[in-house]
Amino acid sequence: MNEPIQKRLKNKFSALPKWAEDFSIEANQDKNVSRRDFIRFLSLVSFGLLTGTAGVFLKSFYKSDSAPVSGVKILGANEIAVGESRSFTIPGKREPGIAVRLNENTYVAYGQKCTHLQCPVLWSKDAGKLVCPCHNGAFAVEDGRVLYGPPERPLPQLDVAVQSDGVYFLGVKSGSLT
Amino acid sequence: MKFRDARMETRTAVELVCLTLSLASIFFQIWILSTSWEAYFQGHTQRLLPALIFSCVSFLVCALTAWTTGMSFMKGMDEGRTNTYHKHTPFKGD
Ligand code: FES
Repeated sequence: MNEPIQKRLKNKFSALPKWAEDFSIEANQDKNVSRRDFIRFLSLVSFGLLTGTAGVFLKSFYKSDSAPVSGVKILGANEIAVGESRSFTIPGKREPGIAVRLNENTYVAYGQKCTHLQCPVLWSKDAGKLVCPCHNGAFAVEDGRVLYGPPERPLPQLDVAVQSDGVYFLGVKSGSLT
Repeated sequence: MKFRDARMETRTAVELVCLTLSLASIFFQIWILSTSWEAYFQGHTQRLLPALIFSCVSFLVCALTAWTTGMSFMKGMDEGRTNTYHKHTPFKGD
């Protein structure tokens, strides 16, 4: 088996086969990936990408069956000062929300996922708006509408009620949570 | 590169064309996948079906190129012009 291929071929065939003229090295010395193998590998990669795209398509049909639970306390009384914000988990959903205290008795709350690519939006006290640091988007704190940047839809607005012992989540006022 | 056999030259040309097509399809599919995610997050779910169809077509192109290069290799083998001592193809004489 260690004899050179040319010699072995001469022992086996009367004339040297045509392919041996073009490929004169031992296969076990051939460590290169052939174009053919590489193309086959690319087909496999292509199938993976197709599966990914199909996954995104199928995911768009999936609707989480967990509904938000209303009447749950999300903030204690005076837990945040006027002009401050606090993130919380929307009751019944595994999604973040953000509540902002605008004045003594006015709180607003929104789903915290940016409607562009789902980065969490943050309250900017100085600018007086909800900003998304990912692609520099901004939303109005009064109603969640888009002020500028790539987002096209307003933030989902949450309904909250202020009671003497804290702030209660009542449901989704506008827009939809994922 | 100079080949002794014109058919070998054709096979190499076919493989190079197929390789280019496959690579182009892959890049296109990568772009489609990232755009699909973006459309999904932005709520433009109506764009996902066309994306899936285009991705499917790209995959078919890739599969076709793999099949074409495979066929041209087999054809070469039939004509005795292919290295049948290739690692994937058992050497009949052994
Ligand atoms: S994710 Fe918010 S602007 Fe892009």
